[in-house]
Amino acid sequence: MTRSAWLKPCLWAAILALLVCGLPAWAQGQTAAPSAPAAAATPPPLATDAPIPVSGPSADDQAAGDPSGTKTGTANDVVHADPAKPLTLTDLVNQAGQNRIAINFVWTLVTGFLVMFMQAGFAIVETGLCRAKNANHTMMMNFMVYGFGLFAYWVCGFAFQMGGSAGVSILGGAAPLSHEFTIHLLGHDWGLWGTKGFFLSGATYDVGVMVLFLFQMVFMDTALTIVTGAAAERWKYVAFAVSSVVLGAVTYPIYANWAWGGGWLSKLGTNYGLGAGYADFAGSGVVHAVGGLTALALSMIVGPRIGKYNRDGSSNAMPGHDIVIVLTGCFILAFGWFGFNPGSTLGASGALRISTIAVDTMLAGCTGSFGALLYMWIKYGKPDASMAGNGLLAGLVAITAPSGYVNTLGATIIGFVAGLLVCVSVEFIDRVLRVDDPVGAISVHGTNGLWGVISVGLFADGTNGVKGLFYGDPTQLVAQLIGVGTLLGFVFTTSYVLNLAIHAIVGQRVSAADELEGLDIPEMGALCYPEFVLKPDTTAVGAATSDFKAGLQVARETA
Amino acid sequence: MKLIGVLLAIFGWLLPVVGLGMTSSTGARIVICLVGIGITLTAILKLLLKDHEKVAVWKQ
Repeated sequence: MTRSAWLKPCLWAAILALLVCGLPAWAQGQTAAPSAPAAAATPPPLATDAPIPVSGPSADDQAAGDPSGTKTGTANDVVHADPAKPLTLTDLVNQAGQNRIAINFVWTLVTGFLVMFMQAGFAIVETGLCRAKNANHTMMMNFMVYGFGLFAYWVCGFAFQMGGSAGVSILGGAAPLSHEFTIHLLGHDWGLWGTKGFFLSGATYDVGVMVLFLFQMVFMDTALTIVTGAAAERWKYVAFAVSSVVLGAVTYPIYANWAWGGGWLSKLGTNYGLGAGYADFAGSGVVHAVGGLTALALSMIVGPRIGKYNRDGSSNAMPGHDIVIVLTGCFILAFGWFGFNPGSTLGASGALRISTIAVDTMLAGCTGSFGALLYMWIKYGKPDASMAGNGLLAGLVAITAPSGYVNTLGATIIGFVAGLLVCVSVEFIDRVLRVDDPVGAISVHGTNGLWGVISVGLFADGTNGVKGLFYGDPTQLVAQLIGVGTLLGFVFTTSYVLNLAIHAIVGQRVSAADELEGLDIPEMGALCYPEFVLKPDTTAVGAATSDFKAGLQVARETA
Repeated sequence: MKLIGVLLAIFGWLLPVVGLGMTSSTGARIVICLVGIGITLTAILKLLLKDHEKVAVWKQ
């Protein structure tokens, strides 16, 4: 058949299709288009105290039971200002407002409870990655950091952080948190710390403030518990107690104020035109990098464990004692992260992006463990379990800041990079810097916390008011880099100086004899596993090798 | 050495903060931020860490 012979039937078919599909649409459009603007009907003014003629099911109806659920939750359940009078518009509007805030209270409290449960995850991850002879000590640090941190935060930490943050409309305003200490410098106001809310007293004895306190407190405690892992197996318990109180009372709250409490970092957008200002949705920087960098400061001050490094500077592998509880702890943490990130909306009513945030969170954790697994498998020939767990946590840490601002593709990439980054960082910190970090806390939380902060400036897609470099706004990246600089320059140095002072007063490190014996008896007075026969310390005479594979071999032989 | 390290780390932080008022160019601000971060990291990892390594248990 010739070309023109094909064309003809095709043309007719196209015309027919246009007629079939297009005519009804055209007709619909014609009928939908108004011929003349309708006269604007002005609604009659509503009297807010006028009675509304509605009624719910009768008492007899309700007494008969409600198996289908259609007679429960009706007009009968709306609270009347004056029970003697019929329902009014004011009653309805008040009830709607109360419901919105109640939904947000419940959401924030329940997600806060999930974050609190992460303490259990941290405790068993860290304990499992330490040797059995230090298990009681490590567990007790993770257990009591909750109490030390909570107390310090109630006394002054919360006031420093959120004392000037009034205007949290999603929780009803939190109006009593009304004063920020501010200095005027370089032509702008710089908010430094809040001044309302010490001991949660006075006007801050308020339901909205209490919700905010609980949620922010469990976040703060997460930062504190990161440090215990990096300094484990040689940290004096009394020094740990003082250091945790200082971090919860001063260092963490000050940085958190700058980022979340109305401080200067959050105002970089309005003051200097840097995107939306420093954006850290759920705390890659505020929580994880603060904890990770404090962990670095502590690890430097207390020094490596005996036997970790040989005289030539090469490192020995010192495997943990229970990989089962390590990976179980990672799962608990991943579960708790659904409180950490989606909960940071501080409400569900009017914040339906919680679904996107939750999916971003699970995706980044997943690709983080992929990244670490692949790295270890390709480089060392085995899919290392503890690094797979650390990869999961690294992905979760990295997505914490951007989870409110990125799409699922961004979350996937951020998580995968975090999984690779945590492996590289662990090797670098262990072999090049020679900083001893038994659980990899500096890499998981410090390195990937900083990566999470930077990734906001790259991957934020603009859907929720923050747009990164890849979506056309390089100024957001500047704000994020200033946040990174502040974490390194302010948070690290403050933690370092304060912990040096604690070192000078009470000493940070246990004696060599106690360390070799294991800290359970010397520090805590009881063994974690009294019925177990603990092997003598082999790490001090371990093979001189910085090679991971050979280290694994040594560990297998001595096990 | 510790004091110098701490002061240099703080300088590396304040540099980009003060630099915000010195230029409105985004490119220049990014460069200043990276320089500041570099200075702070050098102070931490070269000065402070090396100072602690001198008395590390494995060197004794």
